[in-house]
Amino acid sequence: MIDVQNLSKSYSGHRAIQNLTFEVRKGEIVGLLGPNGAGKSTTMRILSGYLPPTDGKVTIAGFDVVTESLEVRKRIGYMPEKVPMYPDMRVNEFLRFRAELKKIPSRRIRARMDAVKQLCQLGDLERTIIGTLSKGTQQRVALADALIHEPELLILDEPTAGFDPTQIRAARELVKELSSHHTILLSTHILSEVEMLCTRVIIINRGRIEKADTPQNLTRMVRGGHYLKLEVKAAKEALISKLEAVKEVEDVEAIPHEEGWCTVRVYSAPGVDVRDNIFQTILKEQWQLREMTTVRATLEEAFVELTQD
Amino acid sequence: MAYWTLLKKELWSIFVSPVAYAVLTACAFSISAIFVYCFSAINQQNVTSISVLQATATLPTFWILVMFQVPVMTMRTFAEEFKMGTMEMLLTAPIREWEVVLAKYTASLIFYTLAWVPLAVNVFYLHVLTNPPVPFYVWPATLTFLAIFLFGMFFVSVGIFTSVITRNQIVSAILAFVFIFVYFCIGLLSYLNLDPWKIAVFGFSFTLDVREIASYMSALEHLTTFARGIFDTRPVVLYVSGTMLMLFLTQRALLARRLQS
Repeated sequence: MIDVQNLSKSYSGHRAIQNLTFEVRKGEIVGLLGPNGAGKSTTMRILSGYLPPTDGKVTIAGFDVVTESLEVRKRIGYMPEKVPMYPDMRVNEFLRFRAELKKIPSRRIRARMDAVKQLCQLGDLERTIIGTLSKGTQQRVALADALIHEPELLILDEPTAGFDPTQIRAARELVKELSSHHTILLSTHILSEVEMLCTRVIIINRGRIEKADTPQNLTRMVRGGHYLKLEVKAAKEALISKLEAVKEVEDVEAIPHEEGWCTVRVYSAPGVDVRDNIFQTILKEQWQLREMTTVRATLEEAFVELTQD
Repeated sequence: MAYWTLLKKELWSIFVSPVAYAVLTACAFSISAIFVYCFSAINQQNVTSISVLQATATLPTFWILVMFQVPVMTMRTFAEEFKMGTMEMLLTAPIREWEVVLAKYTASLIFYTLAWVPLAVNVFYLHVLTNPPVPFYVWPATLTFLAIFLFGMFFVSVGIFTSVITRNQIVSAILAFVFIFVYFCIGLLSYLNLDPWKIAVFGFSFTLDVREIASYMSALEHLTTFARGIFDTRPVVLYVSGTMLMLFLTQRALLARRLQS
């Protein structure tokens, strides 16, 4: 659906993004992550056909964003970061204007407006003046606008930025629902969202792609992010020496605390399950065990590790 | 076509704002005051050589009105969209830049034309309410309105252009005012007794008749000629081509602003 080859963009000498290459396949939900100023919005603006790239090639649904911009714009629903709106318009007037602009046949406009209003929960606000709506609601109006022409691809730049927790949850459900009909590229700061929603994540930093993978693989890559946490009643030294001897265990840390109990962290290579072997060792040594948990790094930790200096 | 949708929206955004009605009222009041003033002056001095409409159109106050009116009408068009950030939303829809430029231009021109309706109403009432009726000459009156429309067409395109190159409405209005003022003043040079300049560049010598050029560009002269009932095609060509040039520049400037944003 999206094919980006060696994409670069410079603003008066400053390189906002350099040599981005990635693709998004039909039906995927891809999250674009990165610190502020990493080049997410610039990338999305280029994909939407608003900005031309300095270098490189972008095709969407087989159309070049520069030379066949109009064809591209017909196929995408773009929601910019700072949802700009005409504050004097009513929700209905705005949606009708956008529908006409996007060349929806007049006999279908009514039905499309009703459909997006229902999807974005705007039914009872249709006669409200946009300027009086809260930021979160304005964003729902912008999302309704992005959806009105049933685009194949949705490009959402921080779609949940102005939402409260309930709205975020609703938005998550909505995006899941939308993914059955649309390919989605979204950027956000809420990493738990990405973890739950996206089939793939692209992390960019300082205009370059740091990593592109599934959220599960990204979290696995975090150093020390994957370990087994135990609470065992035994001496610290004995614990370390016995557990380190277990097959495939890479490192063991033990912190003693009250009444002879120790909290132990057992590190192993990513993807290796040592729980069985550890448990057998503990049984053999006749130690008391009161907790065994697998701890996985969050995407947040992966993000911080990949984007910090 | 997206043009009609955009035009409808532009007209809507002009007339949804109370500013439009304030501007129209101010224009109606000023033009009627100028008209009534000319009528009473002509009446008192028993002038028969010019009509009231002719006198109105040559009064400096009339031109001051034009110079203020156009920038106020056009200053919002692009500057406001850039300031609100709605341009990004507009240009990521499947529409072309020239459709946006043309729609905004047409809407402003309609606004400008509406502002001159009170003058026509004044002319009409003068004819209807006087006894014996003040004679009404259709051809010179039509041509007067045509001249007002023609230079208005050009000035509105200038106003649209100054609006696309700035983010601030006031700056846009000031730039448009300065342009129209300077353009009007160039026209006034035709009334000075200037000798043609003889210029020699790299062996080529030619004469530059400033007076003739100024008279060709003089909006005041165009209006007085048309008001006398003389139709001249040169101003038509001048204003139509001037408008096309300004609209082309507006489209290029809009493109450039998008690329730089």
